[in-house]
Amino acid sequence: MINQLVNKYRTLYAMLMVCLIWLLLHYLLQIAIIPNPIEALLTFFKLLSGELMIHLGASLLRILISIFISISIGVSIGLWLGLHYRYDQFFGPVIYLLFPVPKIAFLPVLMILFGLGNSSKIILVTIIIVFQILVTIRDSVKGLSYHLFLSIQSLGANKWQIYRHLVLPAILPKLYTALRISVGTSISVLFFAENYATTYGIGYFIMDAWVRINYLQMYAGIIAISLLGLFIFKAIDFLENRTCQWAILEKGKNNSYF
Amino acid sequence: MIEVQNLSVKYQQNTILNNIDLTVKPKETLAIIGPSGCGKSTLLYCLAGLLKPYQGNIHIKGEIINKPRKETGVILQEYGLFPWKTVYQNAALGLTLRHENKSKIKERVNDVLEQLHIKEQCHRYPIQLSGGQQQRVAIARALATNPDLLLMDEPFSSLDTIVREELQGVILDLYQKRSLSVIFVTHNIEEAVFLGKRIMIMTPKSGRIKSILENPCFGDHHIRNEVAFHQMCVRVREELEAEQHDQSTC
Repeated sequence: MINQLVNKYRTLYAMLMVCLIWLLLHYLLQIAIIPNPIEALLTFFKLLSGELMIHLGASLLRILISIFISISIGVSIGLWLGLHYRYDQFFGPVIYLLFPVPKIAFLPVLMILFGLGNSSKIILVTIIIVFQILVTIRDSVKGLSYHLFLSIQSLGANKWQIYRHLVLPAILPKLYTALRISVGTSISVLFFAENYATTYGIGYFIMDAWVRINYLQMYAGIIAISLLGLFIFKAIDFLENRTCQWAILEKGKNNSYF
Repeated sequence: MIEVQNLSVKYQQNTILNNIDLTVKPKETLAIIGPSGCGKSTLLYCLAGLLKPYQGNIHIKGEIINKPRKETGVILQEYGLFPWKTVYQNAALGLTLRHENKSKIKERVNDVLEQLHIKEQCHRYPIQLSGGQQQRVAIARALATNPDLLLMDEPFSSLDTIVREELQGVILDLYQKRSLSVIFVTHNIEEAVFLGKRIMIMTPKSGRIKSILENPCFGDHHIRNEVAFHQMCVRVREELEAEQHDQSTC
């Protein structure tokens, strides 16, 4: 009974749980930097109709552009390396070396090269998440069964048809997984980047409220950025449900062993 | 229909097939049987045009085989179905790739799905089907393009005996109704005797043909209960065992 309810309204349930813990902390610690969640929520709704929406929109736009660029670059290079071992031999090791470099440290470099505005922020997020997408796609293509390639070749498929009917549908569920990870990363990176040389964006909004010691506004901003992430996750889930019915069937509904 | 002359395949230092000569007439079935690693699957891939670097000649109806041939249907191990396509889309794939028009595809695919008794499943995905049903879809896909030659690589090896014999019956039925040649690889002696008009036995490791047996039992759906069927199985087994014996003495 309770399992069913939780399962049906899982997002609502999660929100209630988080608020409950927050409320508990608020009463236990009794300090100004942990305000009452209800007050924070009220501030959030009040601000949402005004300036908060503009900051949220600016951040969302930056994230969407970064994701779009990262998918285009990450998927095409990932496919290319995954399907051609002879190139992967040369580029694979370079990618492994660059992947763990803390690219966030290059924000000053990017700001000098690409200006203080949107481009340097978008490029920073892009060069971080493009690796996650690229490596996921490359490895998932490599993991494809050789039998499937023979199978489609035996039906007389040309190269383009192999992409269309085999490679692209096969990697789509992995792309969604990579996307979820990338969205999480891009939000935290953007938060950092928006602390510099901008007056728009949710990162700016939160840090600005912080230095003004307006904790309710700060939390309203944190709520906003969390909901933004949730919204993007839900959108990805929706797309996956629509386009990858088979993968969801494969995962199974109740596949917990314990 | 099929002429194979001096076919050799080498992979790195290993000889997988060594000077194979083989002729298959139209509307004939040939079972290829031998221990694992004897090159029987490789031979089938060569016939399917999936393996290019070989020495010697393969002609099918006068056509040199260096790429997949349009009129050959292939059923690979593990069914070769695409998990992201429904039963219908899987069965239609061969025709879709040839840009046939939609109504023609629909007619042909529904026809062949009905023949194999899986039309009710047409909107489901392979993962929702049993092994036997998946194999039926694979057969449907190979037949949808109306082939004159069907190649099968250990088609029923992962199925239980009851389903396997049922599907062997399906193949025999299709063979008898259509103008179709069938070449299949198997490691199951009874399968070879039930479905092979001729049975080709390969030597282990050296990649040669040991012998080709004519099979008088072929073509009868109820032969499995006859003494002659079991005698034929014994003959094939003896032939296979003799080979293994030769191998162990040298």
